[in-house]
Amino acid sequence: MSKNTDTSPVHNLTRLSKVKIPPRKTLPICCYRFLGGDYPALSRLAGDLYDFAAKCDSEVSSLAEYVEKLIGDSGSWKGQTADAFRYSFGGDAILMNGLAKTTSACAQVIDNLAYNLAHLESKIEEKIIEGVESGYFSLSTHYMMGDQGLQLMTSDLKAGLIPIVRADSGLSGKKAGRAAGLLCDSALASARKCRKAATAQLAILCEPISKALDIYTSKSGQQNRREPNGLLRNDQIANDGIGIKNLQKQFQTASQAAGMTAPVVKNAGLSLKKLGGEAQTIGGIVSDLKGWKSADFTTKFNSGSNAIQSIGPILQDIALMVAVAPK
Amino acid sequence: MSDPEEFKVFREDLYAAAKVFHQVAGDYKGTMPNAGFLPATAGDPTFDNLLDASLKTIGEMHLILAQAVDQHGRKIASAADTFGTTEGDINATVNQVLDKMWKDCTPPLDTPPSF
Repeated sequence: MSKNTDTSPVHNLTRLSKVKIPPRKTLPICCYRFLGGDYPALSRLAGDLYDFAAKCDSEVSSLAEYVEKLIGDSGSWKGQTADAFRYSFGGDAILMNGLAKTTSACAQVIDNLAYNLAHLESKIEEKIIEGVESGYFSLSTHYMMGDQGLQLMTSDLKAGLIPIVRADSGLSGKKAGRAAGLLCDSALASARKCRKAATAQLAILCEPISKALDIYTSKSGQQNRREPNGLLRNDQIANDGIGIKNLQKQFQTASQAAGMTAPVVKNAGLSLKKLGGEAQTIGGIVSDLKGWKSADFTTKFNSGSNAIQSIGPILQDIALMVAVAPK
Repeated sequence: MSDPEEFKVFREDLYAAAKVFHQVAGDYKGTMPNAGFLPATAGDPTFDNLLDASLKTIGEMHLILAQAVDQHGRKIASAADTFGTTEGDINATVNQVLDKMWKDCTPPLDTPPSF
């Protein structure tokens, strides 16, 4: 084992940080037809990305440990060139570690979005059923009850709910209809907040990767220049070059469409190397973004959950109607 | 490193390292599904488009890094080959040979990474 006590991964490859996979939540069971989106598929994608990140991290770690043994205190390769190789490969190991950590962070964004949307949807369906069972709504042909519970046959919640005038409850059909409308509008607004937050998070996380795509695709032609300018073979560069430019353009277009043209992304002093070598957490990653504070990112991360909370009063309206209904 | 036996062991270590790098490059590349990650819809075209671009970007960066690892292995193998041709001339020091191999891509050690 190497006795290298340097704590910087640049000088000690065994100091690369490990990818951490957070505990995952199970999606609630519901019909998933009202808010739109394939939450189970999003959840599966997040799982695949977590798995991919963990495997990549394992490959990088084992190779980094191997190199440290080869060129470390007990290894056979010593001297200036050994150090230079560690430095050269180490830069790539840090990039690989950064890619794994970023991928894991993206998985977390996607997983949170899937759960938040599914949770929101399940609450809506739950309250509709309560309203129906208590006699405040009847359902149009847009709804049916299936094995999985309430089945919504349309994305138009308002069209599906028919308020019932209940003279004995003191609640008018008009009020019941208005509550249903508020439920619908608030649910959709909350879902939009969830998606918007996830979009911003994804754009910020993947920006450094997009920027790093061409890190090996040019050759300086200058001597005494270290990699990345010249690591790949000419045929690899030729093969990758056009595709990379198109992909960078595609990412930039999608990011701009999401409104991510603010200086926060443009001026981000963030690199994939930074993600790999030093930043340990999402907060740490974002702390290097000029104009953004970690707390801002945390807020955005949590805003999906907050969006669910914001529908609370509307759900309470429905719950109140259910509660006061004569048995 | 003037002992011929030590020299031989060192060269075998380099060949072994080149093999390990090649193997890991293949394994690393194999962690990505053959068809890449399948995007899923969140019910919003803006998010969906960004997700699609992000997944492709992650996939491309992963492929590039796999190539880079393989290239490190090839360079080590080239270095070991060079040692093979100079084995009879033990006076040629290891550092001289390796310096030649890396001189066009290695900065002075006090130069910070440029990326």
